[in-house]
Amino acid sequence: MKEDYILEMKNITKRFGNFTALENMNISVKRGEIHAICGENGAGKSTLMKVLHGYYPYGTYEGEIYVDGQLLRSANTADSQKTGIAMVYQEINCLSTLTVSENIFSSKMLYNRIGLVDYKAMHKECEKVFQSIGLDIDPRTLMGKLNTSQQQLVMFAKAVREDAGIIILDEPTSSITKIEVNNMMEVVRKLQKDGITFLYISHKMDEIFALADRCTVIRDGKSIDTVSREDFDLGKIISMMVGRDIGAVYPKHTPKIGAEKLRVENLTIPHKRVKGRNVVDNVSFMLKTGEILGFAGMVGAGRSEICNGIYGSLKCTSGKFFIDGKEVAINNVRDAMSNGISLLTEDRHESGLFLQDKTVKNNLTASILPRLRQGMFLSKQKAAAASNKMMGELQIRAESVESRVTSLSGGNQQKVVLGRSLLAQPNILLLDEPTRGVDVGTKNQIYHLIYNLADAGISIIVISSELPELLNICDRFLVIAEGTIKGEMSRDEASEETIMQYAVQ
Amino acid sequence: MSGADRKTVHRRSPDAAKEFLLRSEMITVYVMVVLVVVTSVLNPDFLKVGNFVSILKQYSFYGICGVMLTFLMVSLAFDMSLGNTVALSGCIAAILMRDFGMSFWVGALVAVAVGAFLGLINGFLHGVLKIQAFMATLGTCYVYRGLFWVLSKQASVECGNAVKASGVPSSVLGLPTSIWVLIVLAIIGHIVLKYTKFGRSTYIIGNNLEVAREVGVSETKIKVILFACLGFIAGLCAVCFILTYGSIPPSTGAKYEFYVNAGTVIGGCSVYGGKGTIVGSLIGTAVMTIVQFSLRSLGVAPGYQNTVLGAILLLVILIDTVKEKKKM
Repeated sequence: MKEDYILEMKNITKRFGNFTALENMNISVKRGEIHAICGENGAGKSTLMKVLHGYYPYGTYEGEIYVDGQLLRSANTADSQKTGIAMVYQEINCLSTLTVSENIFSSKMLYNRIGLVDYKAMHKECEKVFQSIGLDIDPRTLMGKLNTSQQQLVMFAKAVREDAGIIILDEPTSSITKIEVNNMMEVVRKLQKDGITFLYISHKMDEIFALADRCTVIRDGKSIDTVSREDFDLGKIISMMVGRDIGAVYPKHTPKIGAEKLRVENLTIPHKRVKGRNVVDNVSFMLKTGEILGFAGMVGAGRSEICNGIYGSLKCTSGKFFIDGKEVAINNVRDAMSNGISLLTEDRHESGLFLQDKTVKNNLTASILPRLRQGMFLSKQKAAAASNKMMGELQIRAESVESRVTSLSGGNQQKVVLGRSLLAQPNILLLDEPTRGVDVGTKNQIYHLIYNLADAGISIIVISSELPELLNICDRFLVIAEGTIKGEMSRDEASEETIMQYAVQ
Repeated sequence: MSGADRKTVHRRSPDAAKEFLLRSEMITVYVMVVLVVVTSVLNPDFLKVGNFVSILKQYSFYGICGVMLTFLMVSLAFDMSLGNTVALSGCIAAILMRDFGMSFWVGALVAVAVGAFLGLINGFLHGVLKIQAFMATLGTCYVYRGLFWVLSKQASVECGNAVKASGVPSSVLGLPTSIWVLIVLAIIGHIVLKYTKFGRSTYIIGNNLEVAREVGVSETKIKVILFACLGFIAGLCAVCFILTYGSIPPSTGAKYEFYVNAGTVIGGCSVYGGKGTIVGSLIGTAVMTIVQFSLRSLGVAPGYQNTVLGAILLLVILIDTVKEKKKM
């Protein structure tokens, strides 16, 4: 029997230089179904959707996409929109100082007979669309006055009005509250009844189980399998999601764990924009001397936020910190640094390597300038000595400490950032994705370094989205999801499956 | 209206009036009312017709520039060289009228053409070369001012005869002609900003460039057109000035960038773009003009006048910024 597929992706391969993000991806979506796509961090979900939405134009990837049996040749996102593919991004792109109806009509407004914008007609049409999908929002309201979930629903309405047959939802629940999630799901179901097909990208199993008709699991850029609703099974899907290849890059290590070093109690950090939602919700845990503690979980679960909370760079509404059993106040980064806490940030370009066009030396010594003083002025000798020492210890490959940081390879840039954290001589080191964008050889060096630091009595927290990496370097694990600790396990208890089970809750 | 009685979450609330009265821009209106009352009590001359007319004249110049500047503010740009564009274009026209026997009408054409050209330079610097609007126009501000001084030899350029010869009245129905120009311009400006594709595109680029790209609105094109139009309107303002006073004195255009920019911000334009209306800017510039005149009537020393005006602007921008921060 031939199925009625509205969308077929055949053998999609997408490469970025030597890196293959998608490899022979095959997904077929039936007309009118809600098709979930799930996979681990970095499995290729976002890349796939960008290919589909025309962000990567036809020709920059291999393979074919058929919409209604027609080959899709999008040169840009507008072309994809014309064929009826709409995408609602995680971060909503809207015109916040204009009205809801103007947002709905932003690509083409309605004009009256003499060529002026016809607001009445737009409001009316808008209300009609809202009514049909059961939305109760005044089209005259300013978009900026709506909350994230309402904005999201308005974007649905926009897609509906533009006759989109397929709506892609990219992690739609990442910044809305629980009640709003239910509301959104209702709208999705209603639209499905009207014949709209959904692609629902998520790693939250409960949502997928509640909503999806079928679910395709992808891993390492490959489509593993598509499961129908009747066969949904948590264990089965998780086992499909995990199981990446692990090379022999992990050195052996016997931990020397001492007494409690850091204790965090009831840490709560509110969401930046969404009122009533916490990115970190009442988290308590402790870290021992010389211990390597791993924060596992999905991107956006609140792992980085916990670290930033400890580092004083995110304001928390509640939270107590104890170092060596004594309570300390950490209100800002300076407090954290004076308590011996150092953070290696997740994205070296955005926040880590802030001296983009400066030298290796400038970057290495940026956080310890007061210590390099000679009288009133900065001592060149001291700065050079400190940088040279770090360059040697970390084997940073650069011509000299005077080389520009941007001339270094990604791995060496990462070492520079790490070097800066180390020069501050921390007792507690927070490493947020320490091996991101780093080649295998450098990864190995970084692992060795982490072990050496732990052996020297430094307590370390590691965040990594690569589960195998985390499993191999950490002594203990906390699984974070939705801003809370969902599970804790020792090295012996932990496996990819057990961690994922907590992480996708 | 069928929709009026339907129960909705975001219908306009009956508190709309209250909300309006508490808006940040309204604070300056209150300041103005208090100032006007105080001034009238302390100096009854303030309420005299003659004073009223001079306020109106000054207001019309600020207002004319303010209407067009609103477009720029909405698109997230602004112009420091505004006053000097007025001065330079007016000065060139006035010299042509005085020394070369050009008629008022030809002179007026020259003024708007020069203004449009000067605006185009700003537009090129900011729109095409993407230099920050503040820095680009601060630079041209000094270039234009310098040229103005060179050409005018820092003396008043008299061209009253040409104006008289043209027979254009300096007031119509008891109101300065420039006020009528402002009224016509404001109506056109309001319609263009609110009801045309161009006007709405201005909001889109001031709001979110990502969306602008998605819906195919070119930021460069709109910015260049807007700056050229602002230059044109500055030229028109210079023509009104010549018509009103029959000369271009060295002080022409001084502090326009402050009064007009401040006026639009007080009138609801956001320094973060995407916000603003013509009506708001008209009110805002009116407030700034009246405050300026009352401070003068009260005999406040110029130094203090500047201090008060600057403080008012900072206060309004502060409120705007706090609001924007809250949204983040």
